[in-house]
Amino acid sequence: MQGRKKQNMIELKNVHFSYESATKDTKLALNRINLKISCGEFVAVVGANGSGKSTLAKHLNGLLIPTSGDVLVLGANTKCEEDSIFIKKNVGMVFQNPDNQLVFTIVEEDVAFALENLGVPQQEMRERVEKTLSQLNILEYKNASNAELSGGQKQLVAIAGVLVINPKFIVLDESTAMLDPQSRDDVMCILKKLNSELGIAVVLITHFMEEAALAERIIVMNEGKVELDDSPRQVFKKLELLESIGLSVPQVTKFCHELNLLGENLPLGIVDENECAIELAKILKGPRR
Amino acid sequence: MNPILQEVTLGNFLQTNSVVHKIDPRLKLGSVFVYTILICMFRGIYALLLTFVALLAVYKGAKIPLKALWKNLKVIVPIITIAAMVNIFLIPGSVVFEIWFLKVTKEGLIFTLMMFFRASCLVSGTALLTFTTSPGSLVDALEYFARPVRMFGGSPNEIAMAISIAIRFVPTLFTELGKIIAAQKSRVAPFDSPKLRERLRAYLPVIVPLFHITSKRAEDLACAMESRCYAGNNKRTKFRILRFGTLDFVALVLMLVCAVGTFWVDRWRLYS
Ligand SMILES: Nc1ncnc2c1ncn2[C@@H]1O[C@H](COP(=O)(O)OP(=O)(O)OP(=O)(O)O)[C@@H](O)[C@H]1O
Ligand SMILES: [Mg+2]
Repeated sequence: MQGRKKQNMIELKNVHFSYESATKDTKLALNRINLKISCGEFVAVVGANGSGKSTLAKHLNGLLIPTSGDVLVLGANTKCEEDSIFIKKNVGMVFQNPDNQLVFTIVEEDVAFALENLGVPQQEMRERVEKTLSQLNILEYKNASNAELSGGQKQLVAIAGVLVINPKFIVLDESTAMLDPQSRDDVMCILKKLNSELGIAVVLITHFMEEAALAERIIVMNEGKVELDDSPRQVFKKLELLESIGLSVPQVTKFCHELNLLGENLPLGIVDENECAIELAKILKGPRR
Repeated sequence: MNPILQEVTLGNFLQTNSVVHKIDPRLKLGSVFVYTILICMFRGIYALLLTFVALLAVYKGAKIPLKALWKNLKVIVPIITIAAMVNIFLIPGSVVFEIWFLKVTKEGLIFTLMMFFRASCLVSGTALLTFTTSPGSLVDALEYFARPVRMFGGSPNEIAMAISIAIRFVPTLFTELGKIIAAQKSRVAPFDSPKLRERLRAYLPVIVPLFHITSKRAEDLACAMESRCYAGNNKRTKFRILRFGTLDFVALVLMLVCAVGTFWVDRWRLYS
């Protein structure tokens, strides 16, 4: 860790990755990725199936090492074996299926897993587990068995399991995909809170465009490349491009787009229902044509 | 939770927060071991009877309903009955009564009774351990007793981890198995065929996807564990710490007194 420049971001420099060992025409799961994700950001990553989102996510905490190029987490290179724990401590990862990521049967024991691994003393461990559980409003399930919980609650337990070690980044790989709309809202609400109150950067991989629209920034992946990297408004303006790579846009955006095709003149890339309503009201109240 | 799943995940465990539940799992596991040996050593019926009564008292203390115990004992009833039917007529000795050509002897009766109580004592004793100790604590106790493997370069920590994860995976596998069977049934797999051969063959396409899914899940879990800083080293601390306290000391002394007492009763009654 010596000689590392202090940086407060994850930086991907010219990252290439292929699951197969390199021959001439192997398919690249990641192709020349250059990205910077800073502390405190709320980033959404979208892309069709097989576009490389999960592969990208696994690079962010060193689960996968780039075939070529570098990933620097707060200045530490994921290639460096000694920094492995430092990196995993700072970049928490939550996966899609809660049943595959909870290690122990009882909630509090599972949340303590990462602390046990880091050798935290028992008294401190109990305090931190309780604090984290109450931050996520699931303190009441402390002694419950994971099998009794709903999908949304399980996913909150999984988030607690990484939050407990105070990471600077949390990466969620389609963690809301298996949840019903209500639980999905709950999880999003918690993520927003963690981001704004604790300043934890959130990298949210999702197939739900409405969810992505809530981020400050959207990264669009296509065939292992970063296709777009911009604010939701700018990204959703490119409706044709998105549809050509198998993605959709939020319904409001689509709706405004269709109105424009009928000759209206709404601003491009509206992502907010409220904003859409205001714009529509303007037209409705405006002079009859 | 699905009752079958409940049974599989938690085994017998019944949380009643009694004193017995609070005893150190290492003491409980160790004493069940000694208890089993002792039961096998008893030669007379009195000590077995005494043990059984004492055990029932502990069940009362642990607030475990006898109905739950009966569920465990029920399993051995058919075996005991068959064994009894054979033994009761075959053991030679002083004849108590005769039915046609079958002679029932005093020795045969005593032997059968002893077998019955010995089996009951064994089953209820081990069941008491699982009734009052959660699988997690049981694993902790196992980890403690597995310490000697360190001498051969093994890691008790990793052994305990493997057992915990195995326990944790059982319900998941059950759910998966249910799904696959349902999927194959909907493709008219002959699970209910009267022919055994056909039924067995229907299960083959169940096993293969189950293996596939399991390995996928295992891979995911490995990723999740690694992400949460698991490195399989011995620097880990434990969330649950085992402490041998006053309660455990008292329990140990009590159990020693009972063990020596019943053993003495056994041998003294036998030889006097
Ligand atoms: N373990 C693996 N071994 C070999 N190839 C893989 C493996 N995992 C993914 N791939 C391939 O890498 C490419 C990118 O996959 P990745 O899982 O990153 O996509 P994704 O965007 O997460 O898709 P999804 O939306 O389905 O989760 C795909 O072409 C996929 O087939
Ligand atoms: Mg994926």
